[in-house]
Amino acid sequence: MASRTATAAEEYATDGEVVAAIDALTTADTLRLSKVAAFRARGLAAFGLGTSADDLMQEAITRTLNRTRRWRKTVNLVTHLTQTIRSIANHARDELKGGTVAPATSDDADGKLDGIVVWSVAPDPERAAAAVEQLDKISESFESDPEVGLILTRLARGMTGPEIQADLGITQTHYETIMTRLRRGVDRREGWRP
Amino acid sequence: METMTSPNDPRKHLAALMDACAENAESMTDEELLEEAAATGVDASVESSRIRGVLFSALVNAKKAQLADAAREYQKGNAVLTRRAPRIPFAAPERRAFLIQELERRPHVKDAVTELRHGDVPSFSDADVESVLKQLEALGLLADGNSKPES
Repeated sequence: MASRTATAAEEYATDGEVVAAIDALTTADTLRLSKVAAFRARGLAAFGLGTSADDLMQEAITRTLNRTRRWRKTVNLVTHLTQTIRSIANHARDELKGGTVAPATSDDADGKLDGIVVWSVAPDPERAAAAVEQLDKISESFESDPEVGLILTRLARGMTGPEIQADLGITQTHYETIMTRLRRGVDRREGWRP
Repeated sequence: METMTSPNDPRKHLAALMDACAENAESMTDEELLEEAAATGVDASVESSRIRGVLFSALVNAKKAQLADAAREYQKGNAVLTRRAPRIPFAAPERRAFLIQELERRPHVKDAVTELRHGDVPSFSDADVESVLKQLEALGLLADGNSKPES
């Protein structure tokens, strides 16, 4: 039988399919999406970017519908949205590389946080001091957990997950177990939603 | 996770930590999510319906923007049609004369039309004449009173 390549229309979701998929999200799906968005928002807050988890989730939906980030139907919707949120957060931080960020414009194609108010703070000693204080408090709360301490030290050196695993000679499962303790500790400190 | 380029910047360290936590959260099981919500005093079903509301509100706003764009495009297209419509004569003999006149103004277009239709305008049916005029209209090749003939 002749093979057949899927057309774009078959591959990507229509607006109606996006609506139906949101409708079909389970309670756990929505909590997962919200939790990931919350951590991405906290990462942006470290740079003084005033973007909430809700802002990030809404922007991900907007980009899906306006085809800036099309949803391939073979991918789970939550996965698609969390990947889109990561991309939005990365772009927002890229904007800071040169210094000050202007308020977001309405052009979707440039990766800016459209419709989201973004405050700029690139070379800001106060922000850096606040980050140091926050990191110190997180470290203190894990004083009795040396494994988490080892991960924190390596994240501070700019190492990635696989690099940390290799450096410590641990399996991915072991790394994930330590990371889960770290994530829960941060959650306890920061609250369910930023 | 992306490699941080300047690990000495505490903001980047904090962001890397939060990114690592985000990646860990992506792989949480349904049970973990529900248990942790309960442990932190969050009513999972209330929070879930709030999040659904956030998503649907983005959806409604995006649809509104799409509709506004579509309305703008429609109005633009409608204005063009209104402007062009009266230029093609109503009666068949006048339409034929108009087409001959237009093709005389544009010899290259006349050659193309003659070749495509395998014949000259006098041999065209009235339906052919109307069809060619509509095509020229759609291509913006009919005189608008200001355009000049081809040299």
